[in-house]
Amino acid sequence: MARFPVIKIVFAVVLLGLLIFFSNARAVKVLRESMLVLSKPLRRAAGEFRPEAEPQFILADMAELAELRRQNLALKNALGFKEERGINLRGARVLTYGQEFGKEFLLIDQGTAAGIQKNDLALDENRFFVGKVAEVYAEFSRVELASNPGEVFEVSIAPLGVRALAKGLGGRIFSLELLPASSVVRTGDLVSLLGIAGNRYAFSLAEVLSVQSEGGSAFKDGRASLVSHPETLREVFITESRQ
Amino acid sequence: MRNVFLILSIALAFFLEWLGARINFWGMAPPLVAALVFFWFWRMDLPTRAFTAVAAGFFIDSMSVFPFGAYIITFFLIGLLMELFRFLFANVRSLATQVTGMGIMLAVFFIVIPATAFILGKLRETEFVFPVSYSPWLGLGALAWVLIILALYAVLIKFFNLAKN
Repeated sequence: MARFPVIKIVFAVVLLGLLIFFSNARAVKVLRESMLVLSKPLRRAAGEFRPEAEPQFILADMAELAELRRQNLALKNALGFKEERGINLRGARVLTYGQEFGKEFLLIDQGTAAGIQKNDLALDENRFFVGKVAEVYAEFSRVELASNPGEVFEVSIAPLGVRALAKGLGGRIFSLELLPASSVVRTGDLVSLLGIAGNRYAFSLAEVLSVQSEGGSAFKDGRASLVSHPETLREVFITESRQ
Repeated sequence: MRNVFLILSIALAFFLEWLGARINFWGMAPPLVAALVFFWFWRMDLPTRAFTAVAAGFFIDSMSVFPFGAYIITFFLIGLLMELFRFLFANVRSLATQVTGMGIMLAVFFIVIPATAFILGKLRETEFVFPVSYSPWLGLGALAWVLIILALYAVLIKFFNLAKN
């Protein structure tokens, strides 16, 4: 009987090894998704208590104005040769907002069955960029916030269209890098994500908090904060990053 | 009956954690589920603890931003560490021993989780970036939660002992 506990522990270790080393196997993925299905009612109940979003009318208007200016310029350059196509958006309900060690994410109720793929983009109702789809199941997806550490985006800063890189630092903060030293960037300027469909579309990502330059360097740095409030979102809109 | 109470209490901890995800100290959200799992670990024998670690870890890993397996491995290692801790201390029923033991397990949890995630990320060739630039404040947030949860532990243990008697 003394050997029985040892056999149980050995079995637990073997199970642990199988789950970790075969984490991409179909059986394990089905089990993982079933955990999400089991927890869905509890998540929905917890989600009913999320705070109300403060209206962001001014920011939304500024973002729309910057987008219209950019589209106007693009259309002037390509006049008469291309038919303008609207961007495809797919709505998804937010089940949970979560935080783990400074990394924020949203769990949504759409997955591969609805055509969502990894690296698709998530927007809020103001068309502010929230983040990218990091993991997809059949009926669920996880969206990781754009400001999470490790995320890097090519951006354009309105109104002068200054190009830079926005690097996520966590805590809803971006580091703006490779800003030309001679560029004019001010606190409050809108930072937009580029790279969608050959730069035909841009989504507002952040608001510039500060800009600092080091004497003699060809570039200056800045800080920006995410404009979206993911903890208040009840739905997001998913668009393909390949459009 | 005890197993039902265990599952219900962990479900409640999940609900409170999702509810409280917006409440954080310097970016660190409350680790209520992990804290409750360690509370139950103290009251289990090693084989049961091993299975509970795999089951609870699997459930959390399914919806975690960390590479899959980080919580399973962490809970398993902490389950083993707890066995060592209980072996070293004569009176495992005393409030002070329990609170100290679980406080140490929580502190180890905050270190082992990102370390395991980093190693798994390297092994799977998927980069896991720990928020290095934010980490000094995360450490402070973790310390704040350990202190709060220790106070909650003392209350929970008193309540649990009263319920048993």
